[in-house]
Amino acid sequence: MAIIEAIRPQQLTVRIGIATGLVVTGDLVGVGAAQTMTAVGETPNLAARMQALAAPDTVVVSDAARTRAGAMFEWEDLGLVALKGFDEPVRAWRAQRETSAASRSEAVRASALAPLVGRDEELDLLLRRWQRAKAGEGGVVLLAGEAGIGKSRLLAAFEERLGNLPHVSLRYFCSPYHQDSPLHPIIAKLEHEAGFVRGDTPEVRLEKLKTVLAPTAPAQDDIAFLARLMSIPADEQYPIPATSPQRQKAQTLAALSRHLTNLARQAPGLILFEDAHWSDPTSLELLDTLIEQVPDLPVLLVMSFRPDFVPAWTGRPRVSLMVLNRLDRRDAASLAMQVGMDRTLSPELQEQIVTRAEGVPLFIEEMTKAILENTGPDEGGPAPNAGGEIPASLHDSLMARLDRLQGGRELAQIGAVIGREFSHEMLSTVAERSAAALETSLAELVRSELVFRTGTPPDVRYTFKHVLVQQATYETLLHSRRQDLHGRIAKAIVERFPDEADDRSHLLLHHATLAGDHALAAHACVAAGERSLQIFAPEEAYRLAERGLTHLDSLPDGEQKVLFHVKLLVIKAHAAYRHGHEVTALIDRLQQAADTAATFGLHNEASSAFIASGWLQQWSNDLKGASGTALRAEEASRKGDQITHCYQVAQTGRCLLEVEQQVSRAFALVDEAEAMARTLGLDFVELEWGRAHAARWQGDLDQAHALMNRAMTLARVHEEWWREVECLIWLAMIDLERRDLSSVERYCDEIDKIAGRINHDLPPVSAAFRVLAQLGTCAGDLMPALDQAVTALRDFDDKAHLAYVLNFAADNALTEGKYSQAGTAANEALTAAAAMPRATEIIVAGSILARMECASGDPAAADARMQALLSEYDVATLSARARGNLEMAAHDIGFVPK
Amino acid sequence: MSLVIVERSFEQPPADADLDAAAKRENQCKGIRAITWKRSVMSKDRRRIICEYEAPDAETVRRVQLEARIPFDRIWAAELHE
Repeated sequence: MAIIEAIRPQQLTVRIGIATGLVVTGDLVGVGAAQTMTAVGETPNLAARMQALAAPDTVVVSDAARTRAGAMFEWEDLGLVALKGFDEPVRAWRAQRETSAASRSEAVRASALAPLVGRDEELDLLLRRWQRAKAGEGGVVLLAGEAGIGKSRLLAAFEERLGNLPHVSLRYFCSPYHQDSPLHPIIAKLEHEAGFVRGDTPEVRLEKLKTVLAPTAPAQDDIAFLARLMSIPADEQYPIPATSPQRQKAQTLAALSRHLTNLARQAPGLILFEDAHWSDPTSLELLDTLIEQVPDLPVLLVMSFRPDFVPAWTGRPRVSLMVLNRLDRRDAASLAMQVGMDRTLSPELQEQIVTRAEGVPLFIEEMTKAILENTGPDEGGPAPNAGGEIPASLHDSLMARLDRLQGGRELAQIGAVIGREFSHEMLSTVAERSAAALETSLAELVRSELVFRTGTPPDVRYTFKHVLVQQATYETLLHSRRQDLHGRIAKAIVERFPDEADDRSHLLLHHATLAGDHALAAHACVAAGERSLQIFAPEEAYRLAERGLTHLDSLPDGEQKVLFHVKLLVIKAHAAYRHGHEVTALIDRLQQAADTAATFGLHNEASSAFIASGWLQQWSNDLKGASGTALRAEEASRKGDQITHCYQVAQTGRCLLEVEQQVSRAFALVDEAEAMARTLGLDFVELEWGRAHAARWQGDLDQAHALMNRAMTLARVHEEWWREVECLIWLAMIDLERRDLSSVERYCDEIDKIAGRINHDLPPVSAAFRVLAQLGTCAGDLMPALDQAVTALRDFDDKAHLAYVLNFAADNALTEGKYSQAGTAANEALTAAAAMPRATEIIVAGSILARMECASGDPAAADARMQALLSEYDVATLSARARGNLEMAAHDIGFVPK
Repeated sequence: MSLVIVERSFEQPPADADLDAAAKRENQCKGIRAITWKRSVMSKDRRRIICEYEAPDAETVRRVQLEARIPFDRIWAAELHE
């Protein structure tokens, strides 16, 4: 139509025909500006026929093209037209004008909605309530109805009727996956309005939130509470006032209520709260607060729910209850005909649909579509008068529609496992298909209208047309396949969206539970429970803790189970304390959990369980019991502190021995850690590692080997791969010094094995150690291999191991009478060791050089070198390896200290 | 002493509190091993950080990163070109 407008000033007329469908494209034909791509097939022919039908300056389209253009245009039905080349008459449509739909996605979605039939009275009532609300007499409509009865459809029609009239519309959706997630509908809506995206920093999120809140000019405290609600750390800029948790919760709800009512004061407000039967308790509390204020505001609040939800507000002033009933047979038949878009349904088919759908609009719509889709191409042709299979239920009708999809079927099933709504990102992660294949199948799925697409790439989201459609699709999957998909989704949440794992802990809990991953489910309960406490929702926290505890029954006994047990009981204690639950049994359970934690050496966890138990005792007026528990908490905490202290002392001692600094202090620290560990019953890598260094320092290589081996085993058990590698390297070095050369090879193999399975580069020591182990025993020329290994160490910039390897090689060269080679290696070792600095390897290199100088006929130089070493280092403070090398050099050159 | 470069990348930008905690853990280890932090540069989206240290060798810096549980992608000895 824009083309027609553009051409009109040229006093030219144009006829446009459009058809959609498959075409075959071929080579370019023509020359110059006339060069075009050929397109052949039925669709170009149909487009040409449409063009021929069009009057000057009009657009005529085929039936399929009209369906795809949706409600973006108003149409004139030109009826069935007999066309040359087509066996059956074809329906044609003339585009009259563009509609005023706000956006393309809304327009397409509006067109995808089924016709509204038999709801005139209900719509009138809503419009009357709206008129009163606009006049300042706010009201509440409670809209009850079973699944698929058309609650959302009625509300969509109501919103459509309000159209562009000035008003504020706020629509909130509850979800079955977030029933324990406090204020989830409110948070999700605020996140959407603010435009939070993954990767936003807290500062960016705070700014976005403030922008959304700005129209209602909130107070500083309100921003503080709402930022906390949205998990945005903003304590520095907007500190939370120091009051009780109950008061903080009340203030959060008051801040939200103020935001909503202030919005409504600026223009009449329509608040739609859908699927309240899935609401979390805190959102219902917020609604309670709002409903009290509504009569004095220009607001209409409509809440929809299924009949099993019993609202607490019936009977209050300005609150109306509206029940949506099933359609009678006449309306049901009318709906089926309208869904069929004028394609004739035989009276028998109509009768069967009406009977089987039992007046539920969603069932009528789906069954009719299933039949129509089964009747071939949608370009013209009446529906079959009889003979088509009528699905017996919604499930059967969806199965029939899903079966007709190609790749879209599996995507619909994966989407149904993710939820009613799913993101493109999550779907592509779980589906593991190429981008092109994914796009093709998604387009097919969207065309089926089982799923709607919203948003623009990369933030595209898909929503099942109705929760029953999602559930029915979900039920088409075998149990094992569902479990596998839930597991993959849970894994994706943890691995691909780690920053969201805590925010999305309710989703993680849902998927981990259905995947049968009890440890992950317990973890999610802890995260969600702690978050609920943080935003002052004790009832949800209590339920989450109970749910987490049930998952523990399926976990094997061990440290992990004890940790989860304590955390969940502590959450339960906090929640019980704030929400008035019975606590006697909980006190006993906390104390038992604390004792168990202590037997696992988890003293900090024991302490937190005792502390929680103490609060509950105090709250129950058992002051004597509370004071006894407080003492036990302190004792456990001290023990926990002692353990941390013991680890730190051992680590410092081990590090100092390794870098050969403050050696006497290092020995004292290792001794102190050993004594503490004995008292506390501890056994850990750093201590055994430090003790091994101490033994090697003193020259007891067998003891050093035994201790280092023990440290390595502990590291392996605790899966601390880098400590395991470090200990293996030391074991290889100790065995080189003990001349246990066959073991060196074995340790090098183990180092290489670890290098193969981790993502980090390891120092390239194993190749060098293998060569050192063969020196003096292998007849072949090892120099090329040694050069290569040394070059690798130089390139890696690992000077400590470079000095060690070069000294070892220099000593061997000296023994073999290769003085020049020994001198070169020892000199480089000396430089590398001095850079670190490492006293032992400096002295080893110096001793080798002195022996080399003496053997090459320069005893004076050797003597001077020895003298310099002794004046710089106190022999009594040196390691056994350094002293041994000095003694050997003094003996070989006949050195007498001056 | 060598100039040693540590490259780090993050799927999500780390919070200041996490960076402070990592620096604290690193300080406990690096004093003993004669490592001096020179400076760090961070990309504007806070997903990439490059840290410069003065240290005896690159391997010493690597060990401290592992000991302090600070994630890194690559560590290499460098020369300054000005």
